Amino acid sequence: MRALSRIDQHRGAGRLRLRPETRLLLMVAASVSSLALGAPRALALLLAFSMLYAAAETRPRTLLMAYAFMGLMCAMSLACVWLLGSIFPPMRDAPLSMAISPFLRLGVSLNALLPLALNSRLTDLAMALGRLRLPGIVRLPLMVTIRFIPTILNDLVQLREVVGIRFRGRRGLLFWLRHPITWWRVFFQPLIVRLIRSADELAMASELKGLEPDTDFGGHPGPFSADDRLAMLMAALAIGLSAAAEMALRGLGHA
Amino acid sequence: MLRVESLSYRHAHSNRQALRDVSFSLAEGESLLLAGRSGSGKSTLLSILAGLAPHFLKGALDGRAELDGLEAGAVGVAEWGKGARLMLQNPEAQFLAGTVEEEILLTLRCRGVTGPEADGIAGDRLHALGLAPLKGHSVFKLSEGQKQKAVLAALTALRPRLLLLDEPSANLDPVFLDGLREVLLRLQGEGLALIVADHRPYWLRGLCQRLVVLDGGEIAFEGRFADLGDPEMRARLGLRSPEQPRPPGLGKPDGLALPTFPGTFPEPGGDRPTGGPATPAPGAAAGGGGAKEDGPPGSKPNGAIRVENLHFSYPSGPELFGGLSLSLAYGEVTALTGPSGRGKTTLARLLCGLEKPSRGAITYDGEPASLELAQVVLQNADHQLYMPTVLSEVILALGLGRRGPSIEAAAMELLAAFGLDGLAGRHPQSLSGGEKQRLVVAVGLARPTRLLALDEPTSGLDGHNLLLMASQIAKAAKAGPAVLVVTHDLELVGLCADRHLELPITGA
Repeated sequence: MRALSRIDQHRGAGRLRLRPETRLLLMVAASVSSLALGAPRALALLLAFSMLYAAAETRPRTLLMAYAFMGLMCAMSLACVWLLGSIFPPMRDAPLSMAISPFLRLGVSLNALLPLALNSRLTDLAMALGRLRLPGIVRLPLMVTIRFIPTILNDLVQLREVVGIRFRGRRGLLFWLRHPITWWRVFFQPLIVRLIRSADELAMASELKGLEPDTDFGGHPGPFSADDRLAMLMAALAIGLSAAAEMALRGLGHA
Repeated sequence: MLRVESLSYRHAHSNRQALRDVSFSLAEGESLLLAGRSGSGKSTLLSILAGLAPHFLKGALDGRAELDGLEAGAVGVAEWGKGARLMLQNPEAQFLAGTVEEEILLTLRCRGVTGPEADGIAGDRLHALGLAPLKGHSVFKLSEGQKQKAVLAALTALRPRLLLLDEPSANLDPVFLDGLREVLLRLQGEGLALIVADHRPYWLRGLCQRLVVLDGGEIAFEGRFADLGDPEMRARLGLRSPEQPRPPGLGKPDGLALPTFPGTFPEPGGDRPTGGPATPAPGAAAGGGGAKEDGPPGSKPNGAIRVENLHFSYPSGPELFGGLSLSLAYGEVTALTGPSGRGKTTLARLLCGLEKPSRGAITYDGEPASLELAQVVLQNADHQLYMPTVLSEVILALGLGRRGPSIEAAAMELLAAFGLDGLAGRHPQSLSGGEKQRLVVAVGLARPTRLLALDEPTSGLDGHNLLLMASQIAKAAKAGPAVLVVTHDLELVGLCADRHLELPITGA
């Protein structure tokens, strides 16, 4: 019955035994750093570090699927930019770094988000968010968003499979390149419908549970483990190295 | 305890009244079956009684629904939810936490119960529902029945007064349904009132005393559960029989007969299997992997699609099949039943080439199984519908994008066969669950194939549509392919299966 559920959705897992606060901190630090860095090479370095973290905490199959999804979104963005460029020619003259940097930032954020989303127990996360004294209006959407990620990945697996069944014998890249509208229709339309429906279902589940912005989850923090301290140290090093690379590149006039 | 008076409701952005002038009451510990065709307003009524409408779902609510003096609409979902809890049709949609125990604790924490008190209640619920051995399991990896129980454990943790269940039997096998009935009887004994909206009434015998049937948003019948014994009333309101479906011995269930529906299927033409109906396969009867088989007396399976010495397990999972051998005959409907999580869907996927066996072989007249030779209709209809209209969805399947009067006429004929011709211009995603289910099966039948595998094609269908689906499945098999129906619906098995394979029952 549930043979399609291939996504590792077992929460509280992950090779590193990290507290949700640590994963949250890493996510925020990675995202802020990616915004602060401007040089594509420095961003690429940060992306490489974040990939190591994601690979340590996420199953390869899940990670590859997330990257495939991100790649698809990036391809769509590039197609839109190309389309706009044909209407507003100055857009085509923009430097390459302007086109690449947003995708590198997206990759860094995704790498930092996946371990949090796939390995954190929701109650632990709720308690951690409460301890960080984040307002309910931030806490609640963040919890539901994080709970949403495994659902999206599972939908992607099922959609890929259904497209394979329906278009048997026509699954080669050439077929889809020749029929972009069909590709859009068979893949994105159901995905969007599923995402809207899943979001609705999760919101309904939260309402039915009585989950509200001011819900107090209680709980006391345990001490940071050696893994937590090591992960934070490595993150600081990775950010420091990326920042140093950015400064060095600026000095060389490559930024 | 619960009083509903002249309740009417219109969904947001809709001009149609989903409920009209609905009135009934329910006392403590009483249980009511809410029956009716697909789209008759059952789920809408449950949503209102769960406090979701109008707060969450918006829309316009008239009339009154009162639970222990609280009025629906006057208080928020959270406040109302202290008294009435709703189990949705898809239990997975209701999980917020990762493990069974965490799900119960999260529910308690949302209501302000924490610490040792919460741990005590969670332990009690886990024990009461037989979930203690599964408390640390991921909720996403449970079988459907276990998911239902996990949701029930969480819902009943705070002892609500009223429990609302939306289609609980849709994805459950008969063994789990028996278990669920036992659990509900125990809860009823604790004073809990129940409203169960379900298309399959047989498992509610002895649990529900009362019956309310909705039709077009109005109460069409109100009485005792025993009134379901009236075949005329059932036929008029599209209801299923309250009798326990006959164990699949391939006779028709009492009071049911396959009707004749319009429409024909495209002939398989050149794609008709070259080998079948075939000669008996060596060792054609299922065996070696623990499936048992029933068939009409004297029938001999004609093996054209053969499974020999099949071994299969998912990575890091137990072995599902250890040397299974069986054969499927062309032109026959084979029903595959068995407990949830025992590998029915997996076997269908293996037969269609969606999974590769660890060992053994699956062949179609000697050719290895592949998606090129098979057609499979999966459970989740949302993923399978892409086109802007119902008609174009079928045209795409029939002609892969080619249009023309003949393809359009064939598509309309196919839609008519499934009672969907009146919806040809609608967007597929705007259809009801039952309508989508019929459409994806129609699409699956549109293309010639050697094996057609249907996964739970009737899980949410009312009595009328069950007959329609059974009729079309039987007709599809006559056109040539082997048809494999993975199902928990024993009524469907009795109506259309030529053969029955049951995976062994090894407990929950």
